[in-house]
Amino acid sequence: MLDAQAASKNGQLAWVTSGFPVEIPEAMGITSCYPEQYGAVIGAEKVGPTLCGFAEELGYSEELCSYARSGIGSVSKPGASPIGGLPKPQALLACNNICGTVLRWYDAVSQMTGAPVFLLDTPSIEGEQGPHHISYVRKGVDRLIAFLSRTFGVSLEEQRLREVAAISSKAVDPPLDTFA
Amino acid sequence: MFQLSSGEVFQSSKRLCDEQASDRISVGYVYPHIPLELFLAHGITPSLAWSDPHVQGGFEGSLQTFTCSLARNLFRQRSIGSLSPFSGILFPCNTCDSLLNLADVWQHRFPEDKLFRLTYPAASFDEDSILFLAEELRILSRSIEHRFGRRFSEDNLRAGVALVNRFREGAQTLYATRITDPNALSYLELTRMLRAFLTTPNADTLDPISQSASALSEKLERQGQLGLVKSLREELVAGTLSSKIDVQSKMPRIMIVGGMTEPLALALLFKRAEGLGEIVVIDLLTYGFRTVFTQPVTLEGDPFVAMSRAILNAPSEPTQEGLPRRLEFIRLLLSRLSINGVAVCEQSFCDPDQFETPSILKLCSEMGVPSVRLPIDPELSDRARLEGRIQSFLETLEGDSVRT
Repeated sequence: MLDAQAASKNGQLAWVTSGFPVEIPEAMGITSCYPEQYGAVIGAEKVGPTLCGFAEELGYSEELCSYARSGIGSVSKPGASPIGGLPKPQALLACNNICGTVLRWYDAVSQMTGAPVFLLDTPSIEGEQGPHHISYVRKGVDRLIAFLSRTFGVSLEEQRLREVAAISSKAVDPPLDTFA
Repeated sequence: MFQLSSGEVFQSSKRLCDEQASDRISVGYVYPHIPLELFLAHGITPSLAWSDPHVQGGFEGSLQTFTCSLARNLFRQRSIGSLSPFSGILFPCNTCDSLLNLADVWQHRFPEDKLFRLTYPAASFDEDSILFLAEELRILSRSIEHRFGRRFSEDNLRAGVALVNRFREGAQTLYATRITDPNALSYLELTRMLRAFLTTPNADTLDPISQSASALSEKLERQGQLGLVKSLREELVAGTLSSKIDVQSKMPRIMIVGGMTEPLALALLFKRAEGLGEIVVIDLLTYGFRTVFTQPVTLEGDPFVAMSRAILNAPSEPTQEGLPRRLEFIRLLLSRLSINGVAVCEQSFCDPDQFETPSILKLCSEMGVPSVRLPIDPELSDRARLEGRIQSFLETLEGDSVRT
């Protein structure tokens, strides 16, 4: 969190969705933080209904996803949110591999913070993954890199990306005795 | 009761039954931005699967509690055997989670149904998105041929493109005419004609639209207004409006905004206020404006790319990336069309509608345009309250001086 606060002050913070390929912004020197993780903090602090209420005061229906509502509520009233809310983002990076709601959640936050939204579109697959799927998402990644370069004034070095990807791979593939 | 009558629901089903009796196969679809032309090219009637207000969606053990009311209504229709006589049904993927999940549950619960899926790109629409969707359309075409044995015909495609383009041109003319003079054609009649065509797109259902457009065009020409309406139509297709339409009217001029709420159901709801005359000037609904003002298919080169391009250049939906662009378009309409009231329809448990609504209401407030929020479900289960809300809203507008 301290890293995120510092990054926000330096104009180098992005919010990302849970399934976003975070390796790319990380490799480009951009700090990421996760509103969905923050949702767990909200839950643990038992302030979900309160924060959702702030979103509902802004007009968001109580029928909407409570992750989104509590997140929007915390942006609306950071002073009333656990740990003062998440630091202000300079970009909102959404990938719809987790759900379709995230785009609309981030659109709402964008309206409130002024941070631009980028959607990495990963359409669902029925059956085999076709070459056009791979091509489309690959081009989306190219657009992401261009967006981050434009927004943050940074560039992507392949070597750095490989390093970050190796760390990610290690993190998701722990030795079996970790769970012993 | 100003409700979609059993007769109107019956007529829709009857047209489909008549089509099937003539050996045409029909495939139902839920999300309106489908390639009608592609189905017609295969000799298949694409038919929009409407919600039925007489069928209570309610609790259904197969669906999540947060499933949208439209999905719930369609599923219930299928469960009780009252869905129109489709030979297959097409679901969208990557538009919203409710419809994606509905397709999964439908496939599981009704394995005998011929189910098709069409995956849309959700990101900003450039050539990559167009090529992606073109490939999805190719896959869909092969699937249709495989499952129905109906080959893709270039002749049928040309005929289908001509039919749908004429529908759009005619309906666009009606929309544009109504902006300058809502009394030229009632919103109720317009939505009836749209429903009829989208249920069974053929020459018979196109005819009333073409004839109305033709008659109104002749009248407009006599009045020296035809050029204005044509220009307005073209600009709306392009998503622009270069000049303001000045209308001196003592009646409220209302714009209805929303997603997948049926325009005819809303027209019937607003008809209660008919003592004021025609007050709905334009809608920005998925089954209304956004379907009608889709760009025409131009058959040059790859027909799948052409169809994809047309679909993705339709007015943006709340299911897609581009909220700022949609709000700018609403701002443009409010500032140019002498709108002095906005009704925002929110379908129950509809993510896209409910996330978009606060931004639209805020925009209206910033522009000083009064607005009313209408929480809606396909059954119009809160009808009386909605009617009261609309009536009160209109009364507040009557009392104000009309903005021009």
